[in-house]
Amino acid sequence: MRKYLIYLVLILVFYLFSLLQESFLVHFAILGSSLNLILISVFLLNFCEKEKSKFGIFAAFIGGLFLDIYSSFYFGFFTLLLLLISLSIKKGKTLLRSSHFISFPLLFVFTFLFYKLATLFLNPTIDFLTWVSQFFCNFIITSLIFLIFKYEAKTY
Amino acid sequence: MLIKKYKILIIILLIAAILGLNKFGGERVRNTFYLISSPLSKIFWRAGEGVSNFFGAAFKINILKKESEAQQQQNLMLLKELANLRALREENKTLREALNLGLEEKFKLFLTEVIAEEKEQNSILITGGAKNGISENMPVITNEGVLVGKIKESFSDFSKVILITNPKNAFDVEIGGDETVLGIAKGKGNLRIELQLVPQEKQLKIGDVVLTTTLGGNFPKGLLVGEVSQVRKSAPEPFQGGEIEPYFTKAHLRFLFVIKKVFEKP
Repeated sequence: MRKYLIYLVLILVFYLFSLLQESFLVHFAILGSSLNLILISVFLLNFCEKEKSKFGIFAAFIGGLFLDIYSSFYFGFFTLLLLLISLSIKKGKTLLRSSHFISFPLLFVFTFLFYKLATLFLNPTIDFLTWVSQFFCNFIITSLIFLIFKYEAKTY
Repeated sequence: MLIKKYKILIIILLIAAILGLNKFGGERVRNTFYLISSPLSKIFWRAGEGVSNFFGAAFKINILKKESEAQQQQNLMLLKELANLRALREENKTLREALNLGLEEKFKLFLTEVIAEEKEQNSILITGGAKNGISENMPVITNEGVLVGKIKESFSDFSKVILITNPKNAFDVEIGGDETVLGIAKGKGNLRIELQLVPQEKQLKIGDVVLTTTLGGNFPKGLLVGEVSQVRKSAPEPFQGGEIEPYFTKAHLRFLFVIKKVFEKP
């Protein structure tokens, strides 16, 4: 029962994130970039969870669904994209097996580039400055959240 | 137990169902989601505008002061022009009627509200859809007659608008400087527009106002697009170009109008 409650909470949290991302955070764009809360959450959940856990894959599925709803592109595009990213992060973690200081930025760079290159189908222009600004905005927030949770986990 | 046994099959069926929405019911799913979420979306949109205006003002005080001084000077020049126009208006009845025309006399308008923006796709989501007579390719403007974009997709109660800065948008424009010049405005993404195919021999300068024309049949004539912010001229090239700073980026994108019909002039 508790397990299903966690899944329900995830769906509600991602729903809220999708609304925040599309209606609130767009007003705070820096050089044309704003935070992608869903991508950040999917990355963190897949990076931080245990190897055999499937929660991250479920998160990728739900996050992708919400991105598909707001997108004008084919339904399922973002769902499949985030599922691929989720599986790649799990595989990447297994292959790297190094300290978080190395694997975290490497996997984040991979995630970001994979996501942006895939979305070239929607917006076939590469704006270098926007990509760089998007990368740094999302990377800084992702790193901060990861460090906070890591510190909290050590404390308890 | 059953779920674990048929795990792969369930996943495949789920993915097939999602992909199947592209053919059946995808629009209805999106419309229902927007309908349920629109009250919250509107709250977040207004809150975002309010907070960003507050912090924007705090950071831009020096810039605002300079802009205010420049505008005061411009106001004086405009007042002088207004005095001349008033004199002309007294003499010419036709000119007087043109000056008095409001947007609602030129177009059949539908008032909408912006509830979300998709930055990656340079598009916004507005209230109002097929139920309200909105269909694809209808222009969307602000109350000052500034062009924002056109309807890309119309659901039952909501519509997606692609902004004029979207790379998939290209349309004919006229640039009003000392002489009227024609060109093409093409979206570059990230709230930028490129000006293309302006003949080399024409005079183009920074600050020239860019308006829509009826050539190409994209938009009605005379809608404000922006002003020339950059000019690129190279002698061997047959055409010059530049960049346009769109006016809609300076406006509060909250209430917009969809042009449902253009009234023909008698």
